[in-house]
Amino acid sequence: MYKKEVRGELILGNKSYGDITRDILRSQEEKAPMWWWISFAVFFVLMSIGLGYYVPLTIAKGIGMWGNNNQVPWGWAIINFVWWIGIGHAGTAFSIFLLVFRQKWRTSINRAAEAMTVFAVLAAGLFPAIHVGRPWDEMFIFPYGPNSRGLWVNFNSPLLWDVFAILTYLTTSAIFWYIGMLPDFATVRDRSQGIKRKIFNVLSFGWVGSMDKWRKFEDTLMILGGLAMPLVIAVHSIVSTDFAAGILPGWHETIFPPFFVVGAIFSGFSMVVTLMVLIRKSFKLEEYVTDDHFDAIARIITFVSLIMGSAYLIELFIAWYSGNTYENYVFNENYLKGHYALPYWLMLIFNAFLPQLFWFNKVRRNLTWIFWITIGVNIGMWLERYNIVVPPAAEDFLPANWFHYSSTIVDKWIYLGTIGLFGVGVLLFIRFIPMMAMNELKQQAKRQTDLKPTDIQYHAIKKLLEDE
Amino acid sequence: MSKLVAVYSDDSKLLEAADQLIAAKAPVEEVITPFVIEELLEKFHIKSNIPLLAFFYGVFGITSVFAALYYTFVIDYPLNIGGKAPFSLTFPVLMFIGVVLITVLATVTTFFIQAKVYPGKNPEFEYPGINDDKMVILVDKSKLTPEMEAKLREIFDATGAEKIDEV
Repeated sequence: MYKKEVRGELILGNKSYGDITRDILRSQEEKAPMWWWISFAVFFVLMSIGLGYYVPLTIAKGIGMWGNNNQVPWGWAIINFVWWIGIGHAGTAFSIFLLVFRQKWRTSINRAAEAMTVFAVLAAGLFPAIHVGRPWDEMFIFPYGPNSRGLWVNFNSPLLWDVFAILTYLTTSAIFWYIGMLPDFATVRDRSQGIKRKIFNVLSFGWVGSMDKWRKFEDTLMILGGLAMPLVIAVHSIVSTDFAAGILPGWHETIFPPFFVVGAIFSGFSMVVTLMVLIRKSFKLEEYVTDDHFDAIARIITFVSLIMGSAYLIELFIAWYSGNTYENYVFNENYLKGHYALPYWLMLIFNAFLPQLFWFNKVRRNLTWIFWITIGVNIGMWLERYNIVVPPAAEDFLPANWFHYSSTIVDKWIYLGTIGLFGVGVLLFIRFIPMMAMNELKQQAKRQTDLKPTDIQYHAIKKLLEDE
Repeated sequence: MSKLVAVYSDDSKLLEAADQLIAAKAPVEEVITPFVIEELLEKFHIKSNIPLLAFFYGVFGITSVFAALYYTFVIDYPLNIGGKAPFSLTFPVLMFIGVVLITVLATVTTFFIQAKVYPGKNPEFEYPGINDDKMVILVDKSKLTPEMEAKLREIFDATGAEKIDEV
């Protein structure tokens, strides 16, 4: 059962069910504010240049447009891929983990986190798709029959698992997100007219909140959640085996699967917090996304940051303790004081040290601190992927082979293009889709009122006290 | 078909009415709420077989993915990659992902079929506020005797229904 005494009230201001509908739909029913148009324009331009010009340029001229070289075959594309997939885990981590563990404070945040997942996974999927160099041959990754080329795909390869894992994750997340929105689409349908009503009539699938539908709705979401939860762990473990199955010192590590999963949740939670700070400020939703929500997330981020810090230390220790010269070089020379010391130390500061400020109650309840620390974590997590992808490959076994990596303008613009795609997606989401799960908020409001004495109980208690 | 509609704004009153209607063995056709009220589903013993079906989808999924992997990788074209056995421990990875994909798609399809929802469908019942802040109890009037109808109206009044309507 939800304990208000422990968690505090999750919806402030004694909201009625009607208030919740009006507050959440305000962002759709009122005119878009100027900041929305400006942000949309900026992200749209980034998306258009990055994905509209530089992606076709890469496809037309080849991967030689990027900074990758023989020594460092995976550059920004794979860094960005892993970074986006990590962020994409937030929706599931937030929404599904907390749903399955029955954490009621998820209600205000889960919808935005799920939306983020879908756009982040779309952005992630772009990179391997263009990294293959000849996207028109991509169908060969699917096992559609051996007759055309005499053999099946290699089911032993983590790269192949990745394709199936990410497509399954995208499908599951998108379905989970959409099914959860059906009742809210029906609410919008009932409140709108004309073309908007017709659109939401299609989107709401004829939803009416009858008892039978609610039962099936709840069961379906719980099953999807239960299935997606281990899937999150599987997807990022598989992404990590892309590296761990290689023989490069710095990649060939058994710690990678849990390390990647925890890192993904870390960056995903941070991105959710960054966005929720902005959404709360922009739409004045302080009564729904309370300081207690941020406090709860900040505690999780602190805990995860400690796991990340421990993992970094374990890597350094094992590299030294193993006595393996090459591995020791990567970690205790190259990272700590070598050519790549700067990104490594910045990563440590952003991921392991800075979030420790959340031990202070004042920091956990100060939105400015929360915003900048989580931005720092996102930068730190990008640098972590940089540190994994580039330094071990650039300086491996033979110093004669060593070759350094620097990204090109094409790399940078494609990355900015995916940020544009993500931004456009999130902005369209907050403008046209109920950005919080209204039906779940109402359920939460009911739980809170259930804990308060009813009028009859209140007067009975008062009378008893007076009589005494 | 004419329906008796009792409209509530307070879920505790709705639950009280539900108790009395169940006690009076009233032919309640449906209760429509803007959010799930678990107590209501328990009172009316609303169950679904989706969890059980999902389990069977999972069994089907894991069997079919294993069969597909075994056929392609062991029987049809066993690849020799670095001397590793074609039938290896890598199978569970794809079996797991395959089982999730098949179960998710099959469960959602079942939900659509059982809940009778699909893109573009018009709502089966419309009444102001039922997806916002109003909860309604629907009773099929054709199944009511005049005495029963009077009794139901009495229950609705006593439990604080905001409005008793006919549609």
